Amino acid sequence: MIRYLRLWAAFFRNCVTREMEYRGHFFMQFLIDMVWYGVQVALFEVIYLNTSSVAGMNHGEMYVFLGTLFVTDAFNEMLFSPNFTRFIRLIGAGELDFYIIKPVSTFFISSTRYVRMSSWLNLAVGIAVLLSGIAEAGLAPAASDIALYVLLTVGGVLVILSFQGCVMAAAVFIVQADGIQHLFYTVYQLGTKPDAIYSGWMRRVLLSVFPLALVASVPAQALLGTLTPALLVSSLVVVACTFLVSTGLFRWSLKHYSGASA
Amino acid sequence: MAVLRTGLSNSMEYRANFIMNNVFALVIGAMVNMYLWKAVYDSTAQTTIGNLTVWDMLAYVATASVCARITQTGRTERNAAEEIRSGDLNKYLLKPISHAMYTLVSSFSERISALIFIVLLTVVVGIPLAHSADVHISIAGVVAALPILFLAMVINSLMSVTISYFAFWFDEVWTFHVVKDISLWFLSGQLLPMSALPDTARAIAALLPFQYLAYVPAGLIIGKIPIEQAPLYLLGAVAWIGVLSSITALIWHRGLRRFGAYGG
Repeated sequence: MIRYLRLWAAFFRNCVTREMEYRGHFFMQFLIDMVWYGVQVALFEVIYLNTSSVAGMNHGEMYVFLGTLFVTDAFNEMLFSPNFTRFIRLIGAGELDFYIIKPVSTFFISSTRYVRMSSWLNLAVGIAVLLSGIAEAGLAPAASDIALYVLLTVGGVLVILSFQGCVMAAAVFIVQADGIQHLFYTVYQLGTKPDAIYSGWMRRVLLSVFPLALVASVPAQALLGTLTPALLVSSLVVVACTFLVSTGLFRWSLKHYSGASA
Repeated sequence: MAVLRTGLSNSMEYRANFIMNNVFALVIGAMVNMYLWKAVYDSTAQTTIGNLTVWDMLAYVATASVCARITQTGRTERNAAEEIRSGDLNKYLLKPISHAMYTLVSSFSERISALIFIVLLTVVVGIPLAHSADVHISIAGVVAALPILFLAMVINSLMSVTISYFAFWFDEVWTFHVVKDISLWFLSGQLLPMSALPDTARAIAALLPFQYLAYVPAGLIIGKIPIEQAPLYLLGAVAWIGVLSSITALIWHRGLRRFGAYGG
């Protein structure tokens, strides 16, 4: 574990140096994320001009949800997303071979090699949105609520990583999989709205077998005071299972990888 | 016609992309928005939002998603930036064709298969669903929306080509493409109808070209934009094509003065 942390720290230092050389790219990436955040906020601003609550959430509570979505998204964009988009190209170019021969977990190095520094700014914006939502909704979360929130937010980031791992595993089979990453971004949309908007079986699916509600909705409930013990336990179990399935699928897919550089 | 045939052939080579972009992205995107708007109507005592009942809104969101998918641009327009950066633009400069026109025709040809598929999907799935939900689809509105959709494709392509031509000055322009695409979710009316916007925002949106990509055709199809207004929108779309063509030509000619590529 310590070895992996040191390795990740080395990746981090390397990426800081790289990104300082391309400052324009740093701000452009931030611009894209801010436009995406802006669209999400603008949609709900227009909706709240016409109603005072959506699926039982008032304006402030919705900002708690959006802030949580932006925070988990920022962590993913910072730590995992740059590697996910790169991975497809690695397979096509046969460069995955260079990861496989290294004496570390291929899933680890494929998911963490590159870090996007501009996402620190996203994280700051996400926290600002979250705090404004907490203030507007008049929430006063206890220390235990905040601890649960942090735990579930980590779980949300792991769910995103797990979904990306599954798409990466599929890409190993398809090889010329340009654009397969869009599959993830398409499915990810289901997690960008509160789970309360979905009804019946759809909501159950998003909380269990296809757990995108765990990305932002469930962590937000820890602050909103609506998280039940049963949902907490089931969410943690689902996060663990999703991660195990994803890493298992990834390892299995590598057994079928033939390499393209030979 | 040769460019059209080549583009059609290219588009069929990327079948995985094709299915993901035209089935999953369309269906899931529309579904999420429909769930959201259903939840909004369930949470309010208002029976209409932006002059639309709940069924009108669901029909609008689904139709606007289809229209946005039809009018979206693809990799052809973005490739123009790469051609400028790599110097591949040379091969077009030697030919008696307009680069912008070539890119537009190539883009259309690559989208023909997607268009046919989307229309079939809409007819086979969408119309029976609309009928069972008692949603009114205006046949006259569909006929009026078709030329507007075509003009909207041209508008969006021109915007993308113009962005790509900024590659004469900048190393990377993909950021601008992504920013444009994300902004269009909101500005085109894909996520919500312009009629739901506050008065000032609605007045500004009515002056911009983005509404032709989803709001206007979807509004005509579900009968929420009166058919009598179709000629006015048609003229508006043509005027915007004129404006955008002029901007594209201006940037192309300015950029070409800076362009230098060597080798065979």
